[in-house]
Amino acid sequence: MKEAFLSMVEEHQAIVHKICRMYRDTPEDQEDLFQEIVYQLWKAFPDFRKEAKISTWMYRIALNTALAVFRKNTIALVFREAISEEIHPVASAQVSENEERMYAALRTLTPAEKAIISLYLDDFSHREIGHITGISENYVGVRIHRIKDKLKTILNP
Amino acid sequence: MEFDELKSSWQQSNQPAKTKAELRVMTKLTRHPVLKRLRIKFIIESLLLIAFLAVYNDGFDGVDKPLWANIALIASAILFIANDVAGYFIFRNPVQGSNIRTSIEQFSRNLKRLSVSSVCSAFLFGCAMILFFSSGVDDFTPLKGIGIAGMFATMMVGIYLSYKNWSGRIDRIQHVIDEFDEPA
Repeated sequence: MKEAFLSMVEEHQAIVHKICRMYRDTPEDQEDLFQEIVYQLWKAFPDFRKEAKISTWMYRIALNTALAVFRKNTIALVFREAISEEIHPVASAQVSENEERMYAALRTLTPAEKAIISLYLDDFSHREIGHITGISENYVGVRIHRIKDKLKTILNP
Repeated sequence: MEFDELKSSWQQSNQPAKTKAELRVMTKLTRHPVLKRLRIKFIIESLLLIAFLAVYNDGFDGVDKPLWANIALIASAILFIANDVAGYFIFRNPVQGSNIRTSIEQFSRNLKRLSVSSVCSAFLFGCAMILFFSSGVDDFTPLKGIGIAGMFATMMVGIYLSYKNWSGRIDRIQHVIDEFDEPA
């Protein structure tokens, strides 16, 4: 069972990485949250119903963990995630810059907004987002509309 | 940056991949970051209390104190440790519902119960300590009265700080729940 779980997480780990980078500012906090999420996924794995999409299940557990778990009380240090061009290929510099801007914008959202928009950005339908978060399909549409407006203002001041 | 670019960046975003070996280590309870911190706190508090209970009889003349003071002290110390254990299990299981909202609501209810029991167990242990040390005082001078009042004041400050800490945590979770609420 553990091998099946590890293969599944290894394949879909981008979901966990993205949630960690969105909900936590520092690499250390992101790594802590990553561990928390993997542990919670492993605990929940015996109850995972195979008829559910793996990504749906992983998002539900990962977002739930990110929202509930308290971070360490540390002095806030601002890290720039961008790596210098010497060790970062020039071709991917634009991608990295866009990612930086994207995460900086997403981090300005509230915790619930982050959960909703992350699902939307990964092409979940309004119905699926409602099912995962516990809010109605109609209200998901309203929230997404507001979040998109908010992000547009942040990204294009 | 347009919204479509943001969506594309999100879908392409990735970090250096973790290997299966790294992921395997993360499934172990001993590597759980929050529980590790709670476990250390729990072990330190438990060891200090056990050390205190082991020496209080000789060191603080427990035999000369009334039986009720001894019982109150031991019972409140056990209650304090039991509360630590309860907290450990609540933080170990933050995911409980079929969707995020119900899960966070359940976690919030557990957290509120834990905050009340934490503050109460700390208060009871503090009171039991003060009662224990003051129960053997024969001639109650003003200086001793000030000493006891000082101990009580220190305890209340500690409990207030603990209450503020719990309130902050509960408010943060409640804020998340409120955000998922749909307007009537």
